[in-house]
Amino acid sequence: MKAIQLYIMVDDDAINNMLCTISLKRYLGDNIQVKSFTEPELGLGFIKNEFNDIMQRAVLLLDVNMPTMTGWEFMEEFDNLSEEVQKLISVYILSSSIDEQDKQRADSNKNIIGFISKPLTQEILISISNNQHISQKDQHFFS
Amino acid sequence: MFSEETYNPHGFQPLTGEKSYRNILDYMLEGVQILNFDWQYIYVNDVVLKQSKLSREDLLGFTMPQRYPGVEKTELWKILKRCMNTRKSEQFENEFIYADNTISYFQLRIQPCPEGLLILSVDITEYNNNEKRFRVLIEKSQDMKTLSSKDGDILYCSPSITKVLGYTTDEYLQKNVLDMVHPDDVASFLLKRKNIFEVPGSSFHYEHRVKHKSGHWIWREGTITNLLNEPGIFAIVSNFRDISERKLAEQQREFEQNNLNALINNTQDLMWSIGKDFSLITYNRAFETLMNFLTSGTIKKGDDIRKLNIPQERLQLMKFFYQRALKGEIFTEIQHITEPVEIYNEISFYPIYKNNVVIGTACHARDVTSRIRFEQQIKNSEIFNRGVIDSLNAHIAVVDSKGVVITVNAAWKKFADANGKDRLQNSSVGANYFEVCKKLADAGDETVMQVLTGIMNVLHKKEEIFNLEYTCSTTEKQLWFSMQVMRFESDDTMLVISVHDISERKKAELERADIFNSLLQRNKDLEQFSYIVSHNLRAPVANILGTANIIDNPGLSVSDKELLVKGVGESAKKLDEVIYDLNYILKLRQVKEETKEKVCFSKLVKEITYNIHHLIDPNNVIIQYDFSAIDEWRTSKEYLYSIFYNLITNSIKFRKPNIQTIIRIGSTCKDELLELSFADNGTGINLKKRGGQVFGIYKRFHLESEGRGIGLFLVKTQVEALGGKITIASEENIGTKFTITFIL
Repeated sequence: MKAIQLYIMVDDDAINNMLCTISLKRYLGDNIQVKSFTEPELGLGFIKNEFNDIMQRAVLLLDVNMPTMTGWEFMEEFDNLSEEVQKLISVYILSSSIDEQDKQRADSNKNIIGFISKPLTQEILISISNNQHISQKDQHFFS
Repeated sequence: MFSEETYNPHGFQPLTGEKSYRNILDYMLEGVQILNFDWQYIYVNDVVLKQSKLSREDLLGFTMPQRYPGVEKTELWKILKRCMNTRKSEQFENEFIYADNTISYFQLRIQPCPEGLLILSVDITEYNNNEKRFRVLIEKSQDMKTLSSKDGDILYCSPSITKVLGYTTDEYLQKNVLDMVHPDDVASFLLKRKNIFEVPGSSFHYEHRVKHKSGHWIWREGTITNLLNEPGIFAIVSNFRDISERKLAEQQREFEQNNLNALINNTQDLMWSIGKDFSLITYNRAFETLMNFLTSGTIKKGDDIRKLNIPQERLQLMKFFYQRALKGEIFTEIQHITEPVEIYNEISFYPIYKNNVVIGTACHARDVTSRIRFEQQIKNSEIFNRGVIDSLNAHIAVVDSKGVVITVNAAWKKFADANGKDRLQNSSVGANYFEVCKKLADAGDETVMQVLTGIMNVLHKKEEIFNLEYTCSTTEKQLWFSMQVMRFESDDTMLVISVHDISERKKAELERADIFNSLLQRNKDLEQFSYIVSHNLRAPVANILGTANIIDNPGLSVSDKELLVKGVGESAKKLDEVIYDLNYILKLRQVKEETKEKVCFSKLVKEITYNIHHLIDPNNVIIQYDFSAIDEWRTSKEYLYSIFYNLITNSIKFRKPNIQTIIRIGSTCKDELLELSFADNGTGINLKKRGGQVFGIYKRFHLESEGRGIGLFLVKTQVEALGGKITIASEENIGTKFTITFIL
């Protein structure tokens, strides 16, 4: 299976987005495409519109706490997208939260593959790129 | 006078020696006639001529049927014939009707004689008439008369017997006196009756019972006279009359008299009377017994009551009472005697008058010890009950079914007294509780309305018990009460209304609620803290960690490295801000009283306006304020400044860009509550979506606006630290209004 090339970042924290972009490129290769949005509405717009032209497998790294739209609200919109799109995009929650409740909420959503606690590490990125489910065991917090 | 010739008109030769008899016959007072065997009159004396109103010639030589045609059909003829045949004398009373229809009665004695029959005749007409009159007299009389034989057989009775004794005269004639008299009376009656047999004409009086035909007894009074030897009577004569009514009245009188005596003498009560000179006039047995016991002597009528051998003290008291009574006063006193045993006497005095002058006093004394003791017991138990209900803290009133307050306890009275203008003012004893309630309920007091409904439900047995907790404010403080209404049945249905002051409990409850709320707040604070830690502290830390992971990566370009270093710097700065905020927030919470000062709202607004003129002037913002209702409050100026500042800048931040922004600030004051309002015409916020997070820390809802999302969190924290509350009302694209409420 071909490694995933497209990574979509939705996080209001620009520093995080910058760090993640650098990390993705460093660990997975420069030919990785990263689309980062500090405004979730714009990220959603991208998936709804431009993504339809691309239609390739992608990873969505979604923050939870954002001022205008929370990660959960984002997912409500996402759940309404076509099944084709939902199948193509593997959603991971990427949050600084170490709150157990946030993790549980992520687990209960069928479209969320895993909950990743910031920061992104090389190991996690490699498993994501191989489209691996992050097992329950692996869903520990990296602190 | 008879001559020889005259006596022999038909050649009759009188027997020698019989001349003298003829003379006797001639001069007898009775009529004498002699009939021969052929019924011819052969001799009549002058009396016969007189009696028959005929002459000798009319009779002699004629037979009786010739002289009196039709005589053969009479009773007389039968007797005459029988006598002629049997030769035995007979007596007969004959009614003789003359040619002129007048009637005479003759008693005839018919005797056989050698010539035939000799008839002696006595004119009894006069006698007969007298007897008739006598009978009528007897028979019409109310009095009854009987004739009886020595043995007591009734020979005659007057018809009035029927009316009184029920028997017809015929029935009565079958009786014997002895059967008629009451068994209890018969013996003495017989004896007396026998006693008069010896002396003719003697009599005795009697009163006894005789049997009525229907079986009951009739009292009769009468006289019995021995007329056994009286010619024409030859009987014991009894004259009597019915005295049952008189007897009954007598018995009644006797009974009453006996009863009264029995009452007077058998009662335990003492009764006596004294004269004006203090001498005993009369007394009953009880008085006599007691006095004899007390004086160890024998009292008697006429004794001076002042000189009786009883304790001087009591004597003096009694003397005092007697004097009062002798002055004409009717009164009753309770006399308490302790020696030799404790006794309470109730003594009543009734002056006796004669010709409007008091001549003495009747006295009546009764041992009322048990009554007094009972009364004392009741009184004691009342005192006890009263003591119990007075000792209760609950305000208790008992009202009857009409609402009249029967009794209240001390607590009730005290509360009513202390709160004169309050609802309980009119609920003292005698007032009508229902009416007081009705008046208040009509005036719109909802609590009283509830109370009234509850009371009526209990009264009409719809509910057994009614409970209500209510609050009422006195001049000084707010009080809480718990009311309970219960029903109990006495002669009437009564209600016990007890009101408990539960202010202390309520205060404790409120305090507990306060503590609970403050604990809840602490808990929320901790959650908030946890949130801050997991998001706001961890986010920059995660960035720094991530940077540290990759910074050594040999593949990093110079520009990447520069970006990363810059990111570390910004993350560290953010971290510092959060730590600063946390420190500030943790320092908030309680405001000490001594740091409070008088703060003027209008001055505060002016100050802030001045300080943020750089935000106001360029952004077309107008701040309007109206603090006419209340402009001053003693509080923490620092906090209030921060609250005003944050709310004003919040409104400026979320203004609508193309219109004039108007911020209206105002104050109202009602029910000891201060209300501050901040209203704008800004972008507003969808409270359905964000309502729960408006006042959350680090909550921002707009990307465009600067700020860390701490302003409203600070406002809320500070408002609460000052004991107030803040609420928000907002509509997207219309505006937002914050309302802050403080208790003054």
